[in-house]
Amino acid sequence: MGILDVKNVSYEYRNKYRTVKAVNGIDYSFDAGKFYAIVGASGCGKTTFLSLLAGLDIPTGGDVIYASGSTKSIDRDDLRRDDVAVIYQNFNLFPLLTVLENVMYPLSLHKTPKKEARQIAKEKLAAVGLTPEFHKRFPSMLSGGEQQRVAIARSLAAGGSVILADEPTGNLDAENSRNIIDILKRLAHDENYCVIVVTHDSAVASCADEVIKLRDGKIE
Amino acid sequence: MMLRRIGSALLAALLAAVGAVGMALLGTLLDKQYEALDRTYRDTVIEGVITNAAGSRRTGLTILAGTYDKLTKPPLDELIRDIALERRSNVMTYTTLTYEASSEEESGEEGAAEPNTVTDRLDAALVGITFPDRASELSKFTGAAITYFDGFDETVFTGADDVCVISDNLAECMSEIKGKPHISVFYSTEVLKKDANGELNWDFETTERIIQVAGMVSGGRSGRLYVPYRWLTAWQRTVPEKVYAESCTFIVADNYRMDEIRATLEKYFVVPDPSMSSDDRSFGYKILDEVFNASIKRINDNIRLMKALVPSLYVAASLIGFLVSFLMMRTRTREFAVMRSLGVKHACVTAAACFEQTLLTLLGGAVGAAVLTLVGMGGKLAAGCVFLACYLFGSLVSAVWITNVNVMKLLKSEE
Repeated sequence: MGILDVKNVSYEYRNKYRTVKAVNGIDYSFDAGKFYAIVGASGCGKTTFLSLLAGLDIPTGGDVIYASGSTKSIDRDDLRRDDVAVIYQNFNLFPLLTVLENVMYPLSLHKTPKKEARQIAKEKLAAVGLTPEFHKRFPSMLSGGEQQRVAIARSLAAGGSVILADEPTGNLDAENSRNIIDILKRLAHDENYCVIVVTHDSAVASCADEVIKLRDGKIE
Repeated sequence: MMLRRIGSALLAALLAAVGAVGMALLGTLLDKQYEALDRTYRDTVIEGVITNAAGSRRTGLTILAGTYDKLTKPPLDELIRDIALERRSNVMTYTTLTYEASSEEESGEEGAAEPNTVTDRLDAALVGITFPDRASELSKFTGAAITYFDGFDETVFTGADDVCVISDNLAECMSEIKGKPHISVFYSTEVLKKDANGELNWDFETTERIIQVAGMVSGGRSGRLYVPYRWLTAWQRTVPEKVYAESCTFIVADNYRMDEIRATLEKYFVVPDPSMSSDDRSFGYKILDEVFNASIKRINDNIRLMKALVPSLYVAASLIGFLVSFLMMRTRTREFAVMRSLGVKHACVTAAACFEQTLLTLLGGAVGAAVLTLVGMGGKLAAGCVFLACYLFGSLVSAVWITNVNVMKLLKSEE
C-alpha cells in the first residue's frame, strides 16, 4: 500500500452524442520519495488520470485512495488543500498577486498568521532558487522558468506529500526544463514527496524513477 | 485580489452609480409630472354654459327661476361657482295670453252700450314682426294667409301701433265678436330682480296691454299673436328692473370632481343634442373642458409611459448587472479554477466573487448617492436603491454562474 493507490480506475466523458472512456481500468500504487513519469500519446488519458489523482473529479469506476481515504468519500477540496499540490504547464499563478503573495496564498487557506506565512513563503521560494529580489515582482515580470518555480514553491507552501505536475516543462526551454526537473527530483528524493509528472518529454521521462506508459486509457 | 483590477472595478461601480442616478432622475421626472397634473387640476379654470336642448347658448334662451335655483343651491352650489347671467334686453320667458275680446259695437239694445266680451285664457306666443320681412311662418311659401279686417293691411307692421294679427285657432274664440275686436294681452313674466341687498331674485310680474286685432292668419302656426316688432320692443323696454338672462355661464369649482359635477348636472339638464327641436324647452349644459382634458390626457400618458418604464428599467438593471459582472469575471474563470485546485471550496470562491460584486455595487451606490445629494435630489435615493438592488441581483447571478467552473477542463494542459 503506497501513499496513493489507484484501483481499477476508469473515467468516461459523456455528451449527448457519444461516450469516451478516457481512463480504462488503471491499477497502480504510488510511493513517497519517488519520481514518477506518466507518458503516452496525445489523448491517451494522461491528464485525465492526473486530474483524478488530484481529486478534481471522481472516477466513474474504481477508486483513488489516499491515506485519508477514497476520493469518492473524502472532501476533495480538503485533499487538494492539505495533501496534494498540482503544478500546470501554464503555471497558473495569480496575475494580480506578487510572487510572495502567490506562495502565501495556500497558507492563507490554512489560516496561517500572516507573519508566519510570509516567512514560510520566503523559505519555499529560496528552496526553488528564487532570491528575495523576486518577491515583489508580479508573474508577468518573470520568465517561464521563474514562474514555474514560483508554482512549485506555492505547491510546497501548502504542505502535503504528493506533487502532481501536468507537463511542467511544456512551455519551457531545455535549460529551464532541466532546472525544474532537478527541483522535482530533489523534492522526491530529498524531501520524500511523491512526485508524479505527466509529460511528453522523453528527457523528463528518463529522469523518472518509474515510467508509466499509457495507451488508450490503460497502462501499457 | 479581485479588486486589484481597478479599471474594471471602477467601471462596474460607475455603471451602478449612473444607473442609480438615472433611476432617481426618472423618479424626479415622474414626480414633476404628478405635480403638473395636480397643478393642471387645481389651476385650470373650466367654464360651463347652460344651453338649449340643441346645444345653442343664445337662441332665445331664457333662464327660469327654477333653473337658476338648481345652479345656486345644493348640491350644485358647492360644485360650481361664479354663476354669471348675461344681461341683454328684456324678454319674456313665456307668455300667457289672457284676453278679453270685446268690440265697440253695441249689443243692439237701447240704452247704455254694453261691451260684447268673450273671456278666455290661452297660451300664445307673442311674435314681433316687421314689414315687409314678416315672420318666416307667415311667408306665402308656408301657405299661411293673412286676412286683414277692414281698415288694416300689412303696413300695420311698419309702425308701433297697438295692433296684432292672430292665428285662426285664437280667432275662433272671438267668432262671436262683431266689429273690430280688441284683446287684452297679459304678460306674466318671471324675471330676475335685484332686491335691497343687490341680490337677484326671481319674481312674477304681470302687465296688461290692450291691442286691436287687425287680422287673422290661417294655415300658419297656431297659438301665435303677431305684433309689430317695434311695438313689442318698446313695451319690453318699459318693464323696469327686469333682467333677462339669455345666457348663463359658470365655473367648475373643483376640477377633481368633474365626474360628480357632470352626474349632478345631468339630473337637471340634458346633454345637448343638435338634432333636438328648437321647440324643446329643455335646458342643456356644456362644460368647456376639451383643452383641459387634452392636457390631462397628455400628462397622464406621460405618467403611464414612465410608470411602464420603471419595471423595464429594473429588469434592465438586472441585465446590466449580469452583463457587467459577466464581462468582468469571464476572463478570470481560470483564476477560479486555480483557486479550486488549491483547495478553496466552491462556495468560498462563489462567496468571494459575490462579495466583490456587492462591494462594487455599494461603491457605485455611494457615488450615486453623493451625486444625488450634491444636486439636491437626496430624496430620490429610494428609487436609486431599488435600481442598485436589481443591479446587484444580476451581478450575483452572474457571479454564481461564472464561478461554477469545470476545473478539470479549464486547467487541462495543451497537448
